[in-house]
Amino acid sequence: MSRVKITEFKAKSIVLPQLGQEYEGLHIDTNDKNWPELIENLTSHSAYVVKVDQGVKKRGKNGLLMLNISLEKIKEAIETLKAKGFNTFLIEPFITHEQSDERYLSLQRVREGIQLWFHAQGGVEIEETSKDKSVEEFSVNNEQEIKVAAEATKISFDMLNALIDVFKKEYFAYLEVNPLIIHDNSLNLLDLAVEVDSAGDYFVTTWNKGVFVQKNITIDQELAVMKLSEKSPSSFKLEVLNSDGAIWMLLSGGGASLVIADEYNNLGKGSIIGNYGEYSGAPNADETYEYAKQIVSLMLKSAASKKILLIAGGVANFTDVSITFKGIIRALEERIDELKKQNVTIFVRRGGPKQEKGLALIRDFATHNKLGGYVAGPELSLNEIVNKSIEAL
Amino acid sequence: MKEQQIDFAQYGKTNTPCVICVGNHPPIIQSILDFDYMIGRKEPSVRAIIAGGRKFERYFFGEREIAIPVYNSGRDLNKTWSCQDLVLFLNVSSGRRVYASTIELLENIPSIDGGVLFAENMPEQHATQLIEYAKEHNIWIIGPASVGLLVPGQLKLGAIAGVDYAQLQSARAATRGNVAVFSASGGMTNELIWNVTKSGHTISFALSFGGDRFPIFSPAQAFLAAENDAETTHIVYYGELGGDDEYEIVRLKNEGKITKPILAFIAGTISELFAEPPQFGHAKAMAKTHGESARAKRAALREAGIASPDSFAEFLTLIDTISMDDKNENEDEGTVPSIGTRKKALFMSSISQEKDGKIEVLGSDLAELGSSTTFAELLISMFLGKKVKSKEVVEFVDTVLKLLIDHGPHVSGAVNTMITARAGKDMVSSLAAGILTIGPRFGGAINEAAHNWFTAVEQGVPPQDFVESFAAKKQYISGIGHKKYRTDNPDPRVATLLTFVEKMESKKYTSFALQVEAITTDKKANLILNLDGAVAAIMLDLLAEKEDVTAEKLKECIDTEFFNALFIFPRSAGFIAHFLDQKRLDEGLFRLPEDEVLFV
Repeated sequence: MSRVKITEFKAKSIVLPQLGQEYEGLHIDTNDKNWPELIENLTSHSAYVVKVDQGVKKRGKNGLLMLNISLEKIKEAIETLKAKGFNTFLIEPFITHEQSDERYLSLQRVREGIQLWFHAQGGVEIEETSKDKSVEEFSVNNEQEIKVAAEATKISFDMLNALIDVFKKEYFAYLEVNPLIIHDNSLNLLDLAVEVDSAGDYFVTTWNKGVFVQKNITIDQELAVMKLSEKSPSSFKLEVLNSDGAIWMLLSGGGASLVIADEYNNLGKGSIIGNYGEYSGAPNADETYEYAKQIVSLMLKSAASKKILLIAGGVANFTDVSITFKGIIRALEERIDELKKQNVTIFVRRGGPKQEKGLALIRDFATHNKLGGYVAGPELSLNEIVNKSIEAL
Repeated sequence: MKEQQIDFAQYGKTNTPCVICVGNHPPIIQSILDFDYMIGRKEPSVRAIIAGGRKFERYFFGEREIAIPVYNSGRDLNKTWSCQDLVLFLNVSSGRRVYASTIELLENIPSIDGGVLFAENMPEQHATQLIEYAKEHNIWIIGPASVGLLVPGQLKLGAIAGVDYAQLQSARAATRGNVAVFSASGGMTNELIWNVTKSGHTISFALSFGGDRFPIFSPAQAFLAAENDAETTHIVYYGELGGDDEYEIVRLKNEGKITKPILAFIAGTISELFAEPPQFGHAKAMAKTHGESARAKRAALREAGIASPDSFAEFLTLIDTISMDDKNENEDEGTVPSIGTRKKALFMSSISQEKDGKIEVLGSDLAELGSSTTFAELLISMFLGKKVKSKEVVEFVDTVLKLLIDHGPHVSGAVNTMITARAGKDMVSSLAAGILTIGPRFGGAINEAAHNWFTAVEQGVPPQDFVESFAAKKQYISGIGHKKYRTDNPDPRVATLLTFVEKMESKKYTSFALQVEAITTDKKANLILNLDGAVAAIMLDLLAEKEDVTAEKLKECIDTEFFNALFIFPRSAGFIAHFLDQKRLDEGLFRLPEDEVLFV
């Protein structure tokens, strides 16, 4: 894992108290049937903001942000947003401000430490991705630098310093406030987006993997792989590209998996790729079995008439080929009748520790079960096995 | 900046570098030792492992089994560390521990030149802190999430080039060539090494930066190192979408700082098939902006005149077409040794071995020792596990052995020996019966006394507080007190022993014991420093001052009951004497008279 979004509610709950400010937000998850009751307990304000809180960008533009909503209309507003396919919302008191007071501020961890970006005109127009020339940029890695940034942005030194401290202490990787309203003794973070560094979860108490903005994973197999990866020291990834795809990939290594997927795409087969994924970091046979099982099950469900399974990877440094292949063979054996019935062809290319043993195991398995295809060691290059496999389609 | 100075070509070129491993990773460490063996080194490069648990980890060097010492921490290692050559480290601990353990090591072993971090999932903040640290301290750190650095024929630091001996051979890891291989991905590093080798070329050096967002050792630094290396003629590079490292390479190329031909492949166009940019295998591999995409990077590289093809197939073709004219003329194509058959020994011993029919004790032929050493010298050397050098220690031990050989027939061990002998049992049984009484109340107090003196002195406890802490718990102090001897009737044996410390400089343990005695005898005249206490204190002082035994090693002596050996050994001789005596006198079975047992 790496940089992961947390909800705006969670982000504000972490940041605001550490700036000495109270936070009056309400988190609503409509998967919880009792959500309407929560609204009844809201502290009374004349108006509220209701917004989708699922890490979506440009909420204003896309109508996922509703301003100036009275207490009575909140439920209705949520129902409206819910109808657009969302389930996590944030309710906050509505505070009026002059649009001319809106600023843009972001902090990001960079190679040199922390970098701050500021724009005197806040609002939705500024994309963090294409910062124009009027965006001012500051390094904020010592008191002097923070002083310079504080003066330029007209944020009090203490407030800015406190914000940067939170950023560090909470293992944030990215923080964006847009718009931001600057007061003498406080900051009004109208919209706050935070990405944490997931590797920091061991060092913080305020957030954990449970508060990440979840991609709406609806595919069971992807979910199973995500869970497998969470509880293993090794790494597993699975993304379905086309559930009716013809090319299914059981790949090892973050790098080799990209190379192989790219090659299919280069050869014009992008649209029939079933999945992207990879396992790495010397998983054991059981874990590899669990992973392979998910891909085999996706492949068998695909409506494609011809299917290939590519079991491939580079020349491993320390992942034991025979151990991982044992796990893969177990997953294939389990569904062997269906694999045969669907005429799935298996292609293999792999190198690394115990490669002879691993390749022999899978060659025997493929021959014995007449799964056709081709089994090769490193003598065949990554692109060559891709070429060979395409011939079978 | 370190940038200009790194010259991997020099690493391990003449002398074997000293590698410290943080954490124990058997396949990786073994592969480094195999590499050392393969290139004909006489000794392995891995000198120490920092980990918990055992004191040694066993590995193979060729066919020979070796034990690599294990230390608890860099601080612990620092006490005994010495290396005149290049010092490097390899940290294989987890992403959570890697930052703290690296800093701990670097602070304690300042002679370190650089190292590799193997762990994935190290927080970005820790990486950027290490970038700062490396700059300030003028060291290099490759990683995190790196399979390491390979300088063929000279250095293997990590899993790079594989962990099987066969892999090392096919990667031609013993031969230094002219093609540098760099990659963010560990697997692709090895894949490229394989492809370069397959095309008939050999590697000048190879390294993996790791797939994290902030590789501490940056691609730019690696490219400059390749430019700087006289042997390297070509650079083969594998990069991915995400981050902006390639733009730095473009800059260096445009500024003319890199002139050697580069073949670069940037993977990740598959990302274009996804609606939302996904996170691929490596932490960095996510293109949020156009500039971070594989296509944009390829275009920028090409614009700078760097070969950056659109397919991996073309990339491999380019590797194949690297001119053979640039091949290093001195490439040694000699055969590498076989690692032979390996068998793990059931035991380790550092005391003695049987070699070519001769017995070697502590590395010397026992037959020769028979004429060149005294019994006391050989005995104390074997007890310590190393040859002693001072005559004071030998003389002291000789005296102790004599003084402790017997304490009359009335003490429990002697009584047991005599009773068993009279019951008609053999020598070994009678001796065992006597020895089995040695423990907390009889004879076993020397070690406990050593523990008392050592702990109090090391922790700086004042004698007064020391005595008080025992009094408060109503406990006896081992090493203090005697049934018979008192201040007005001192133990003559103790007086004899104390003459050994008279000429010593610090004698801190004995001084402490005597200060304690001064306090305790003030309370009661028989609470004097007894023989156990004196032997323990003086032995501690002699070992510390005359044999340079460190505090850690003294602690180990206490933990292993070394001090009790000074009693058990001579007294066993005494028991044997009592056994023989009883057999000669032959009084028959002993039975305790009835009035000697009080029925309660």
